[in-house]
Amino acid sequence: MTAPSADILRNDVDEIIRRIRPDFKGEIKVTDRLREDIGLDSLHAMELLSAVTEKYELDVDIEEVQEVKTVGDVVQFLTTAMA
Amino acid sequence: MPGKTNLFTPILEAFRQIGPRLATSGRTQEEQEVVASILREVNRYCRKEVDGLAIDRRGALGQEMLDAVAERGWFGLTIPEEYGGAGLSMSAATRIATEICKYNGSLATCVALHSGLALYGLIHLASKDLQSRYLPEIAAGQRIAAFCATEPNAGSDIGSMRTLLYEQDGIFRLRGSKSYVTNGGFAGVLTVIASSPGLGGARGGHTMVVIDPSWTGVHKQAEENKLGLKGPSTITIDFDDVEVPRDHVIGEVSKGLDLAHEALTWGRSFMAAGCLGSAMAAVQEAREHIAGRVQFGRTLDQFPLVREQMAAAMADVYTVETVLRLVCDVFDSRSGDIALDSTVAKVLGSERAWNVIDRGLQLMGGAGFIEETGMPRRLRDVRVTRIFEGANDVLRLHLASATLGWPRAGLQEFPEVSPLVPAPLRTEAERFDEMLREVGVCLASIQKQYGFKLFQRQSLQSVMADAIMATYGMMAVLVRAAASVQDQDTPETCVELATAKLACKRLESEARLALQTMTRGADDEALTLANAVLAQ
Repeated sequence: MTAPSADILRNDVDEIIRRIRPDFKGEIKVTDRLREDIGLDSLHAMELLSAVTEKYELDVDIEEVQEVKTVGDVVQFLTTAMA
Repeated sequence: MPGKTNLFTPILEAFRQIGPRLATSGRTQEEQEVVASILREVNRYCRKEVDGLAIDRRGALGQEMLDAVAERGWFGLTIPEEYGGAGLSMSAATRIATEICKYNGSLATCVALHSGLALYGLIHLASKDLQSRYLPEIAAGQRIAAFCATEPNAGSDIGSMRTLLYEQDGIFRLRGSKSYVTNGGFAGVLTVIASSPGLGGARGGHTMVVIDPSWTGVHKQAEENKLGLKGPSTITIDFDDVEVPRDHVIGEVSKGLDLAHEALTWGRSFMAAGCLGSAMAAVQEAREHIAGRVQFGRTLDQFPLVREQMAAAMADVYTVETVLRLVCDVFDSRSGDIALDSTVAKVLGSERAWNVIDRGLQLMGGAGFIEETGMPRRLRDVRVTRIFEGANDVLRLHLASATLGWPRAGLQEFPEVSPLVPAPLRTEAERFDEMLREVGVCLASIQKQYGFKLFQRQSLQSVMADAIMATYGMMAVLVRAAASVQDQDTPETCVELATAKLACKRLESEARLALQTMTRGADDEALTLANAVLAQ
């Protein structure tokens, strides 16, 4: 699979976040913290990572994503995983 | 997404230190004496004054009973002594909750919810000023506490709440509606969790606040008509742009979701305490019935099937009691975060309590179906414990999902229990060591095989949780029993040993069944039927 651009990844992450948190209004920024800014609890955060890894058919070692805290971290994680 | 150690290793590493503590009812001799004194009064008062049938008939505990509880200081169990409370540890306070619940689920729910979930924020997270303002009145029972989280569209999905804390002209205001507020009708102080986008520099976020229900804009709705727990009030409370003083924020603005989870963690332990009391009372009542009821020329307790069922119920009660004691010990000794431990106590406690009471009712035959025996009320009252403060089905998913963050290396090797237990428990300990190894290998393999795709497999998560909970229960039983039977040979320890052995056997069977289900894979027949008849 060809690695999608960072913009496409951002759009996909945004789309999944809005699916999980349909009541979240406004723009989603890369600096947004998943918990404090988007309002995702730990289960939602797992669901987000589950959805993105599913979408890109990634086999991810859980221990690689311990530091994912912001939207930007999710995009960076995907970029690295597909590099 | 913090990397946490698994649920087992920290406890196994302190196996010998924890065990003796599980036999005591308080952290110190002094606290144990306080607990003994309160328990005496609980028994004296409840036996004489608490009429479960009357409570259900009037659909309320009644002011007289609330005053009596206040007078005895039971609304101050968990409040620090400097504010007029008893300052009890979780281990001690849950003993009281258990005892009250033996007599009546409604009264116990009122006291335990107040002492646990509803007061966690004020006791552990609020400013000194806020504590000074409210806790003395609460300890004196002049204000009873309630916790407001659930909304019409936000139950287990607490993060999706719509109740809003917003800032207008420099003033915080609260707007929204909270449903199923236990103690709501007579509450004098509310802990409310609300969505607070934009506050505290966070774009989303949630904030926890203390609300005085007498403030302008707080409207209490009518009582709900419930299946059970008729005594404590359960209502919806509306907040119409209620002005909230800034010093009534608990903890940090925007960090409320984490704080709500902390409060729920505490609350679930108190709920498990209530489940334990209900189950203990059901066992006691059923024992009395089978000892007196004659059929086919013998009392029921002479029939092997009845005896075995009663023994199983007693073993299950021991399991719930032991898991609860272990969770309280972990909290009181500040030796770890109990978020998952209390989840195990709540799920395991509520489900075993339901099963034990159902079994007790069955053993009582037709009498168990008669309202005046109290058994139908117990069954109704305990039913909701599988739902509130986190539906068990959802808590199972939380528990299973948490294992994704457990370091894989730690799942490959656990400290062994078998060298640490006395000879009579050696077989059970060896079987536990083997079981834990298998569970560890299975969880590590699931981490590797599915990773985050585990979220697409809720059925698998559910059985993973079952395996973890049963294994945790087995560990707890061994921790306690190893200390109790060590170097002792009294009639009591013989009974405890037999109870622990049966408890281990039952838990091992459950864990083994869950492991088999996990390895067997998807339930194709169920999926086929569901796909045929349910909306895609």
